Amino acid sequence: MRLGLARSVRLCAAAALLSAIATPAVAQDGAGETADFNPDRNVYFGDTHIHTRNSFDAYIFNVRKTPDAAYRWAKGETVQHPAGFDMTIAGGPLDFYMVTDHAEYLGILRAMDTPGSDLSRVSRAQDMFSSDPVAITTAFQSVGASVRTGQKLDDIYNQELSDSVWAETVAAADRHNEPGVFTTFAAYEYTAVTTVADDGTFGGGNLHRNVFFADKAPARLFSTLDSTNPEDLWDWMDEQRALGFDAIAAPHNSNVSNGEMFKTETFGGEPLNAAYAEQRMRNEPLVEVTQVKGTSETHPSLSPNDEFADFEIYEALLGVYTVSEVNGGYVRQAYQLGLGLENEQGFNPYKFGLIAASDSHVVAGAYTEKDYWSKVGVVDGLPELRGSAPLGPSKDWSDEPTEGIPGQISNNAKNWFSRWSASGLTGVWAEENTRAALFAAFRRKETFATTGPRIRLRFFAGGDFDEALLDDPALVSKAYAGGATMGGDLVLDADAAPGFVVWAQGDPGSAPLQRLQVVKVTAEGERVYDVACAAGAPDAEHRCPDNGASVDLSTCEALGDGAAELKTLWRDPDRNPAERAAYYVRALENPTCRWSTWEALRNGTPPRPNRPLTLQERAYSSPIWVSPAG
Amino acid sequence: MEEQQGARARRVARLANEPLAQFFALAALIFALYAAFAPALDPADRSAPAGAAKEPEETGERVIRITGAEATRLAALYVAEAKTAPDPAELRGVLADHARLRALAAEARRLGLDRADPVVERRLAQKLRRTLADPGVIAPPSDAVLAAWIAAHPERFRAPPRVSFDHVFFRGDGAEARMRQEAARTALAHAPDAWRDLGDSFMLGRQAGDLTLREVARRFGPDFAEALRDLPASAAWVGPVRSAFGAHLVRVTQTRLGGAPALAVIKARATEAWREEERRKRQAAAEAEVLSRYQIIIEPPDGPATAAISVDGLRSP
Repeated sequence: MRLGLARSVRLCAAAALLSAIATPAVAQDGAGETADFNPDRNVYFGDTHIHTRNSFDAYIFNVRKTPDAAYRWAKGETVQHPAGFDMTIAGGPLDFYMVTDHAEYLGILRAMDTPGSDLSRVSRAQDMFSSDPVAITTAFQSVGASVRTGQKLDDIYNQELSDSVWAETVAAADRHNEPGVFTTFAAYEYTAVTTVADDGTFGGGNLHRNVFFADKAPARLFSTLDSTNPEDLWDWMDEQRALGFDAIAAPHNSNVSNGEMFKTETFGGEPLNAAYAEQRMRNEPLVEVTQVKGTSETHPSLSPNDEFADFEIYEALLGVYTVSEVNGGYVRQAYQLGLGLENEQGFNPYKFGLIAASDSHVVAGAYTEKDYWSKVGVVDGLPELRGSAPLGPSKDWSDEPTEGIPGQISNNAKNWFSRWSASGLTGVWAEENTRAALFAAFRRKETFATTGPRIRLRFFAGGDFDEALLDDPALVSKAYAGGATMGGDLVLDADAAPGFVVWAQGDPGSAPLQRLQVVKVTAEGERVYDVACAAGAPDAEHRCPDNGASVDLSTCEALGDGAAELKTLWRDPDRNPAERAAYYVRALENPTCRWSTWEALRNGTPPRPNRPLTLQERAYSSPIWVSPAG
Repeated sequence: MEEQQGARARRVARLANEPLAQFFALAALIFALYAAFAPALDPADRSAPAGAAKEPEETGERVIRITGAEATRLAALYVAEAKTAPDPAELRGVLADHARLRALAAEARRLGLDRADPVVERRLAQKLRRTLADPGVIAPPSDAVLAAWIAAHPERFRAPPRVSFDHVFFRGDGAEARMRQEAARTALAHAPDAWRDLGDSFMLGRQAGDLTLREVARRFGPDFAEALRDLPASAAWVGPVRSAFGAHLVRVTQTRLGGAPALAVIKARATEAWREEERRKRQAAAEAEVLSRYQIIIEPPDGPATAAISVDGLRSP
């Protein structure tokens, strides 16, 4: 029944497309037109997931900044946080940026808060912007519940108003897109949430997707108010592509999807098949693996032999404290699942590349541990509110309130905000910084994800790569010509002995590198190999010796040496020529202070107990999939 | 125990000074402040406010008048939102709704419901702030004013110098690496275009086109960018120049001086920046002026006032 409804909704949506937004000519990208064009490809860094006042939740967090402000910030200008302080990006401007406001009730809350508007007169608006905290929360949750269930709230639903706000969003992206300098995309967030308890709130498992358009964008978006089934989103995207609006959807926070993101069955519970895999990969070639709400690479319980797996793990479902189901929520396991499906049934729905983003709701991503502002505006805009400084009057953590509204603040800080991360950025290898070149790179998955620093990763595999290639001045062009790079496939004869070029440069503005790892995934399991070390060489267990790096916790000064660059030619010691495998790179920095430790240090109070004091920033490449010929 | 409560009250007061206005943070403030102040409220305070009231509904006449101008504005808002003109019944509904809201608000004020309500106070303070520094009242600067302002902030608008260069990269800094550098220098002196086959591979390519020095610093580290700052464009290879990753022989192929761009090119951006600065300046000045009319005394949680503190010490967002 639901499917039938969704179909008719899609027909309406398709009809609405007859009046597509015309994109101005400023975004005419022609290959090779910019000064920094490089056939061996440059690396560009950006954030694919940013909210502004037009998102229903951001507005309630007191965010009043526009998409224009978001793009100005990414280009290096200073923008004010809703709590009153200034935000400026560390490490210089980004190369690309995407505003991805929630499609559901896009721009509606602002209209509800505009005195004299019709929407401000409905009782839900008067509750939402009243002085009664219970009324505010109830009204806000009612909107969240509507986003989750897909049941429209007729008193505030106004598609024409949302269409006009979307048109402004697209116009802002076009205004700030400057080929060769700064790239933007028309983009939005599709906000599907699973239901764990139908309690009239937003709470549930996260099935969100960010959808970004190659260049031109349709006039009307597809949201959960059209269908809460992500597979219907793919149908809509296929229709849009046929109409000339190519787009990619990137899921995020699979870690808190309650195990629903990477399942062995469809949304409706049917077995997966080749058509499903093909459609999913056509529309979702990328997954956001790290962001403010934690890391989705893997979980210690899934990877007990990976001592670096316990990194910025976040497990609370959206809006509640309930812990998310681990199985089905992490990308490494999804790679394994996909390889198993390919072996047994000949298709792989989980052959995706990796990107990272902040998911900031204050128009500006907080990427650095040293200068962090989290993401939900006035709700967590101060150290006390996000649990890095005590909320109680004492200077330690002995009297945190647990009851009353201050208790609610401290419980939210304890369960949510203090576990959030200063992360992340996407790296893209493309010939030049234009929409066309970047979108093509996203499409071929030549991307990597970092937890904030601008670590650069290169990764190639070839059947006849050897040590001499490593020292060849033309390494990059030869590697492109003779092998596969991240996001790609390598098909090998049984007698081939592939070599992997594994290469990372540290961010000159961050900590040096400690180790370079290759993660190998097959249908049977996984193994992590250290392949290059800042000090010494990997031992028989494929682990680097300790390089002695540490952190002085009284100053957060990083101590000890590391590597500016690590580069090696690696061969898989456990290679089985008959089996399919996915290989991806993980590069780790030396340890540094976590944001919560920096804030405790500045606040003169001890760090919150039971949170890591330090972390090792890292980067993850998209995999190379190696398979036997025939 | 009392000391602890005092500390808590200070904490609450400090939180209250933060510009938090909504949602849980707001909720916390409301509850905390009610807890702190509600018992002290004298019911006698809840009478009609005294003072010079200008609105008709505050004069005791209990008249709500929607003026013609207001009706026009409400009708225009309707059009803006619904994308169609209201029919007479809809317009009557809009106006009646508005009148109803005004009457209820007037009655609430008569009953003193706005007094000692932290949300109302916060809202009033916010409204005053907006009035004091409403961006709408900042007219765009004249070209002369804007040009002078840009001249006073050259670093914000100067187009950065850009550099294009080729480089040959050498990993490591041992004797062997230095020998290879020397050999490469000799080779380049004889055949300047043999550079593509020399040195080690560099991750980000051997040619850099039209980069700002900031971008050079991002790719190669700050020392390398600093060294390039002073290198002229030339057919000659120079170096080694140290980067974050090793040593480079460098040939600068083109430099473009930055400098002040034409006003027309940066006018929109500069106007926006000027407005933002002006808005902040006016807001700060207006707030300071308002505060100067008040004597602000902050007593410690227990005991009499010991000192009046200067408004300069008050943080404004």
